Amino acid sequence: MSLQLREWDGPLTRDLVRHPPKVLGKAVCGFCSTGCGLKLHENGVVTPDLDYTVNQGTACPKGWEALSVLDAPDRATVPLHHGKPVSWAEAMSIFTTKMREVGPENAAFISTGQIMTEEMALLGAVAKFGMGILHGDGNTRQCMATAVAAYKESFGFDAPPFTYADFEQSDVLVFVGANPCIAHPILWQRVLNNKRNPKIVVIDPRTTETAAAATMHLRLRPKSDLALFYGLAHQIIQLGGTDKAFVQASTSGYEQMREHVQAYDLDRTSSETDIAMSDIRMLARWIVEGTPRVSFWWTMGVNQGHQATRTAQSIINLALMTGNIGKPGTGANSITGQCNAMGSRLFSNTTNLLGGHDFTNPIHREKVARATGIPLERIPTRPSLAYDQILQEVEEGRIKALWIIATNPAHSWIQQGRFQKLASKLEFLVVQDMYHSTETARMAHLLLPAAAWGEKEGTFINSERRHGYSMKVRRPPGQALSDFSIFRLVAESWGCGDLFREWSSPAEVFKILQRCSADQPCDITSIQGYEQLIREGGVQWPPGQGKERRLFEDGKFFTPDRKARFVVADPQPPIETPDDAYPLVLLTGRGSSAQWHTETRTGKSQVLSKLHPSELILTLHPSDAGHIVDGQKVLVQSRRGSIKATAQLRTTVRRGEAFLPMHNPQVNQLTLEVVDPISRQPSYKHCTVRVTAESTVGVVSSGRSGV
Amino acid sequence: MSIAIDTRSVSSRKPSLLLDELLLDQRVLRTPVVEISEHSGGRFSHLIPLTKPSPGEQYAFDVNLDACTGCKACVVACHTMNGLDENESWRDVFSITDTSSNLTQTITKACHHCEDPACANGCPVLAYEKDETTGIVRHLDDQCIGCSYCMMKCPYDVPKWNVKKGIVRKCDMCQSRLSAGEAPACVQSCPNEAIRIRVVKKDADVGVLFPGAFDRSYTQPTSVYHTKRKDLPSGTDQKSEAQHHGPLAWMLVLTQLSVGGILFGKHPLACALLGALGVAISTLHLGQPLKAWRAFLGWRKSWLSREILAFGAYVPLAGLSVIDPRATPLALAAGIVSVICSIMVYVDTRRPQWRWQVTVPRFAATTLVMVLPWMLVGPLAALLVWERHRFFTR
Repeated sequence: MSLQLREWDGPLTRDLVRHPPKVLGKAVCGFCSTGCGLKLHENGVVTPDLDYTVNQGTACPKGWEALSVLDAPDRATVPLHHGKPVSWAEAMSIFTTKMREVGPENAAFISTGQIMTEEMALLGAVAKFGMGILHGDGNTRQCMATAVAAYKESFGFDAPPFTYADFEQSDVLVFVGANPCIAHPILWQRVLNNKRNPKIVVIDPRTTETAAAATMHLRLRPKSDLALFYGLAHQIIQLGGTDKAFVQASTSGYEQMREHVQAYDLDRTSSETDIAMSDIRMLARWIVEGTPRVSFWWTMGVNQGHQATRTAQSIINLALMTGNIGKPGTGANSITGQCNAMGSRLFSNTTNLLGGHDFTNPIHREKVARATGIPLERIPTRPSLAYDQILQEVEEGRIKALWIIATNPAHSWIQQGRFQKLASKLEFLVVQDMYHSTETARMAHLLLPAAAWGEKEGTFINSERRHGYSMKVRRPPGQALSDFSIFRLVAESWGCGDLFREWSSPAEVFKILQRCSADQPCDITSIQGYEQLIREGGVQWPPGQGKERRLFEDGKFFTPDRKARFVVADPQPPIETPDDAYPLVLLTGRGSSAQWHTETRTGKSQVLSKLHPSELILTLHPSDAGHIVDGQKVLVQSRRGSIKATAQLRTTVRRGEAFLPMHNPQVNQLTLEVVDPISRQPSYKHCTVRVTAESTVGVVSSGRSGV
Repeated sequence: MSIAIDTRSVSSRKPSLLLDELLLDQRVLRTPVVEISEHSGGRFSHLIPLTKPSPGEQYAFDVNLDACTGCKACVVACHTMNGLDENESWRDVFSITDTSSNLTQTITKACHHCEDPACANGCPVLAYEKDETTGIVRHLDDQCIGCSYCMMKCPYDVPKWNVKKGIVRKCDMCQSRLSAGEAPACVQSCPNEAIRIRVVKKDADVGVLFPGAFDRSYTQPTSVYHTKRKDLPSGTDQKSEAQHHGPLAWMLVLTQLSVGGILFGKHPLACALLGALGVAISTLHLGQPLKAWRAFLGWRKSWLSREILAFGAYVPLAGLSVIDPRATPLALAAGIVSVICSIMVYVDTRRPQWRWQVTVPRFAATTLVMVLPWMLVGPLAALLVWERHRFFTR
């Protein structure tokens, strides 16, 4: 005990660590697709990389906490067979024996956008070329499949055209179903960096944080986007906003599009979307006046819908008809979700053959066989079934074994009750994850403990097509192995290890993938290994001059005739519409910037957990509340399930609508399994519910007129 | 597609060898290939002032509400860049929402480095120091006794209780960074540059801090919040309730009963014991009781320091009155001063739930209970302690 009157210094004062400890390495963040550069320090400290082009020295809360979430008591440290620890040798023997018993033709794998490109490529190769599993899909089906399908058909290749600099160079930015303030805070930083005093338009049924910061917010009726964008196209044509020279030289199908949108006059558009005619007209004028610096940005509000692909294409149409593509500050731009969704799209060997190739194309198969050294006859001649179709096969008993890697469908798959029932039919469920506690891991017959981001190396591809490198700076707990090593073990154990001798390290696989990409739009053959990625702060595909680049500057697309396509369709009503029994439309989405998907990682950080409400909050419009008061406990019921929540009465949702954050494990008990028929991406953002006070049985009145 | 694999021929390579190799490889870390810059250097220097404040000026946080989107990077950066405990951060982001309109505004907030800091004025041990040049209100962690009175005094919920260390800690505007020409953690972490440090004039009349914030005349917070919005929603700042108030509830009831006992001529020994017990129990709420001997230091401004001094006189005098009844008037005087100090401890926080109209009747009534016979005092005391808990948590 000190006898000084005032202690200015001492152990408690020195307890603060004002200078982050030594830097061990750098990595591209493993949460979202923004792809921020992070510095990884000793003692689990992370700081943003000042030198990285993407984030320029800042990060969102998840990035700051990226390492601390790895220290958790529920990390998987040894393989578990029905919950009992087994050795890796036993685990592999069980894996191989059970998979052979079931037969690879009756097995499937579910990959992820959360592991390294090299890892997902090895998984796809071992499973399909080595083991003979035909069907595998990724959780990217839940977030990005729509953008893929739309781009492929419209541009001839899955090619998001933009670079983040376009945020800064645009005069009109139109965000559709996107809330970057919360979902991609570092991209919003780039928007605010825009010195051109841009008009920011948000098209979203909810008054999100981004909508609140926008110049104009169009609160459209959920899933009425097609009518809105056709109406806008019609207005733009009337205003003479078509870039005739560009349309003539670089597109096809304009005339059909023009005829199609004739029917969407202001009256119809306004009545189908609930948006005032004056607002539609004003946005059309802004687009015309802002050309050629108008950019369109969309994310899950578009990608998750019953007509999602056509909706994305209706946005692409606007960019094409006005020539807002291939120039600074333009583009029809899909902001990706997961850190490596783009890697999954190009290199997971699920829907596409490695390198964005086509399984059904014999020339592509031969090329990939040559590039990988895999015998041609081992390359399947058809693509995998989509996620929902794989689950359908499980339900119908044709697929009996499922191998799930780094994703948590027992929480995240739409209409959870159905998933849980069908998963219980599986003869063999293997889950490969860094935690043994996820909803899906707890159902596993065999759990394979995986090393996490920071404990392994490899590359991600971000939203703007940037390959970035992540370093291995920490050791995983126990016997956890990188997913890469686990796939090698599986290959060895299955007896096909010799096929993958060259696939001995992530760096070697990167070289193989480079060869696979040759002459594709995503050609990365000129990248000089990981060293160049580290040195230059990532490289966008296809590599070119400068730190940032966009596609289609020459007006040439990847279709056979090098012309982009206009694609249109007739709007259909959502499958489930409000009625007397279920009068409200339920929207789901991201809750806060501190939460990531099913919260298997972010839920481990105490400081992140402080940043959002601990209870499940249902946002409800005051006019729909009836006797329910703000803060009251309520039951939210759909035809599929019933969950409890706390009501928050806000006009940030429209009358007749309600919102729940997707991170809560129960929310998908309510959602309805509807998928876009083209992209097969689930529609998480439209089902109907009723809300009642927990203690009473009265039904909340519908606030919606005309439905 | 047919896949025929001859497993026997391929598994000639022993899987265990590969497994060992992979497990070993998993322990090998990749060392950095390039030299990595550790500090932000001058990267964010445009967000901090170029010069030190002149006399009559000080540093202040400047928040552009229009740029704050509520991403909360500042909260986590504060946590990381200061090496705080798992769930600790000195910066908060909350939102004010007007349910009648459609408006929400997120607000980021750390210490307002007030001109007349209530935390410092209330601290019984002078564990706060307002820097003369910079105006930064710094907390001396090693001086703190963990009484958490500053948390009640601060109307902006700034000082944060640290359970592990048994002390309070708070934002010091990353003083060491600022003095090295580097931006504070929150300033450099904001993707939208919503937070800056700037030099402000003292005694400047700048209106309300932000809608719903506590009346600034009490402490004169220096932070500046600005917006181009003309329609900011109204709302309220959050305040946490008093920490570990259990011992305080007991202390207040027992000491007030003790003083009342002397007033109404109850048995002096019982009164002295009640008082001594109350004071003894009060030390249980301290995070650093061994440092409490310094509690006299703050007597010039702190009602808590004065209360401690008054009880320090009252308890021995009450004891003395057991032996020598001539000490009774002195003990009674010290006791009444003590109860007045107790009242002022709460009234001085200016929190509505502790305004004098609430506090005076309660504390006085507790004292007056002793007019009743002992057999009624017992059950009433229990009721009073329960009521005192509510006093702290309502």
